[in-house]
Amino acid sequence: MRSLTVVVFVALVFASVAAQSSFPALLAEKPAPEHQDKLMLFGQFVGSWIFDGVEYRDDGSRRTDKGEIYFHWVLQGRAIQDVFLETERSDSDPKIYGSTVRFYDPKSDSWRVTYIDPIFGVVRTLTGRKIGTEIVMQGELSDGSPIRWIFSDIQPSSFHWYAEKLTGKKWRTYEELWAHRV
Amino acid sequence: MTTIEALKKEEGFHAVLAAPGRSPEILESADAYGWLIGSWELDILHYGVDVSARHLKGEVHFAWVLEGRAVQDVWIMPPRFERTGPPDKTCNMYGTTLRVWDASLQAWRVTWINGVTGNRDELIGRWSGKDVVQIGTHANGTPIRWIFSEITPNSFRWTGEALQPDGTTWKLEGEFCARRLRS
Repeated sequence: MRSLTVVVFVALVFASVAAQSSFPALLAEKPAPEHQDKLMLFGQFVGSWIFDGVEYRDDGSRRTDKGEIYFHWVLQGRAIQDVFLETERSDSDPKIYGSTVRFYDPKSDSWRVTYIDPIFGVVRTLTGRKIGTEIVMQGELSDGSPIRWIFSDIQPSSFHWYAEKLTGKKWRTYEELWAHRV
Repeated sequence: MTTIEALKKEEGFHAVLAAPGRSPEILESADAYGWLIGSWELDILHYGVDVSARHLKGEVHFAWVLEGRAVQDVWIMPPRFERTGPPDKTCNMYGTTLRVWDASLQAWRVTWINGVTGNRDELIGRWSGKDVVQIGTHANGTPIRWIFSEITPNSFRWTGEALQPDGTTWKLEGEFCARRLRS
């Protein structure tokens, strides 16, 4: 009985994936030929990752989470989209299930980054570029306060990511995570 | 490894992005985009200028994503089978729209990204009578409104307009007629 349930479940999952089969027009297998070197700034992350994260609240308390990130080439290899999802949280808040689309803009030699988090109705737009060995994205919170999101310690199979917001004249880290390739 | 983990590994990105349907958190009355799920072919009537004489075609695909709390699409013009050689960027789309339900607004936050030209536009969308109306701005701040109208199960018209510097005239920027493709 249990194996039948599993078979039915697997069939349903495959059916739902198959029902989306017209959508792979989104997906691409490699970077677009023009600006290929530039595209690899985020292209280097394509693949599957797991992470451990910490959130630092304004009141000094902290929360921890674990999750997964999947990066893929999209739009003929001119953009990179990820899906970012939490699998565990130390509190009872809803688990994030969000996505980021980033594309290289040759006119400004920078990246336009859009992050969406439907559970909290959040859309963030940032502009990113390589600075030294880090990737720095700048934007603002919905209240207008400046934020920057930074990929640092980038290795083939690991990276550190942290988010800072400007409080007065000081940048304060409000979130960070350590990711490892699966 | 559980079955789900095995499937995730197998399908990777697409399996975690795609969702089988609308999240129960979004009421049917608020669902402005679920009717679009699937694939459509486009007749391009207007794109910057009147192009109806050129009989340009396009394609667009819609899917539920992110646990059914967002609708993502891909707009392609010319269609994939006609995309050979270097792109003519004046009449070219290979872009995606992310639409997120925002409960605090009781509306959808819409971001359109055209990977070919690097354009990014942001709008707020909702039902308005029998139409779905998106109001927002181009990246340079120009007010825009995009409208799905003449909606039937198998067809719709899409028009995009931008407010002119006089502050009163809306100028047509894009007009597409869509027919549903059988899956």
